[in-house]
Amino acid sequence: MSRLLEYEIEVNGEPRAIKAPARVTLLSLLREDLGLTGTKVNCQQGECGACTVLLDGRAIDACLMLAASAAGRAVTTIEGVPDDDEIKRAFLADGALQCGYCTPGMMLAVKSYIANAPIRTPEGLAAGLSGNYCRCTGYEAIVSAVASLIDQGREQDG
Amino acid sequence: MRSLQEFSYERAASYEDVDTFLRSHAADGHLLAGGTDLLVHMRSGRVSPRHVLDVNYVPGLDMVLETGDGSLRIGAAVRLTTIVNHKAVRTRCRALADGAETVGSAQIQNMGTLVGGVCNASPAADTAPALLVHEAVMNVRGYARRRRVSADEFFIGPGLTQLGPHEWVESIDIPPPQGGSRYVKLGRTTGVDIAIVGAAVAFSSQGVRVGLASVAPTPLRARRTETAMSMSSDELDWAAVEVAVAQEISPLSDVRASSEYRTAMVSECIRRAYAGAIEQTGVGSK
Repeated sequence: MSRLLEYEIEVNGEPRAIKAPARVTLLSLLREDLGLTGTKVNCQQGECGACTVLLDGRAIDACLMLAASAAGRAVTTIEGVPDDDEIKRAFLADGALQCGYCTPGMMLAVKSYIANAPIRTPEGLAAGLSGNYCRCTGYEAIVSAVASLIDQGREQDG
Repeated sequence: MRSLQEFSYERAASYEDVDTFLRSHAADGHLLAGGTDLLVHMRSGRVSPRHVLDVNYVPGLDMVLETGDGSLRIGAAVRLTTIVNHKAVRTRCRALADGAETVGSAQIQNMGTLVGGVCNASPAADTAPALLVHEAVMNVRGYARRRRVSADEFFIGPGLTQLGPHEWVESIDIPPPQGGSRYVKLGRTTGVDIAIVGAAVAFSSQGVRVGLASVAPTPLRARRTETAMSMSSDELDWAAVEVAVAQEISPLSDVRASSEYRTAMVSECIRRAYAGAIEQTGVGSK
């Protein structure tokens, strides 16, 4: 019987008390213990970005983080992004998805880029999305859906 | 979902906690920094530590310190993203920011650390050539002693470093730069991929320094190439540089590229890094 660690993580704005063995990753904690299945499981080696969540506002791969290592920090999953969020609205308005499996990770990677880039540029966005694979290859639609958000950032910074 | 084997998890609260952990668990323990390599290796079973010590919350370990003389000290928990965006890093050792910016993806850079990546000692490590050309020094410690190891001596083979079983790198010192530097990476895509070849060039008061990735069992300080580049008075003799670099590299053929392709591309990467390093400060024009 493995020893359970007890700690707290803020998930989507709410403190959650966790009891879990050390070997639980943030990805499995979110999906299996907290039922937040918007965060997807795929490559499990930090290449595809399907499991992207925000840790203190920055995109990370939840498959590569021990849940215990996130103790005391703030995690945002796709369930924590409001429906009227500018990024969700941009994806919906342009229908920027095909099968949808990569979409939560894509949206959070865009969110991280927009929140953290000192200056928003199309090239910067492309780099910000380089860790998110769309196996339907729907990249163009995603980039054009969020282009207006990138331009807004440019104007503000200019 | 593939799960991990059982292990214990603790957070280090001080440098001494890390020393003590490695003293007791040199054989069955592992330090956790960014986790971007460790978790992949734990999942595949390549490593299966019974004890994991998280060094991310040691006060001070996530700092980049600037000293008055222009040198930088980068702590073991400093993320690659911090390095990419750090003003002093970008102005003083641009090749390091270039290297950090090409590791994996935004997510990997938000998680991964410079020191963790360097300690994994991949011959393809994108940050290692910059450390070589900036003549960085690793501040190594353990319960018994502290010592300083130059980046040039630190790497001894694929995945192998000078670190003893009880030792860890608390920080990396980058001496005051003497000229501009850049790193140029050739990968299969601009996304998540390791380097086919990578080259860093920096100017110093003695001439030019060259560091290479993915062309030898370790990141390589290319001294013959440097000599060939320093000999010409005005226009560089690139044909002579190509001959010199081919003599000191030993690239493998693998899934990413053939040995011949790597040899052909490495001098092009050097050429571009050289041009970039000149442009970065204008120091290299001679």
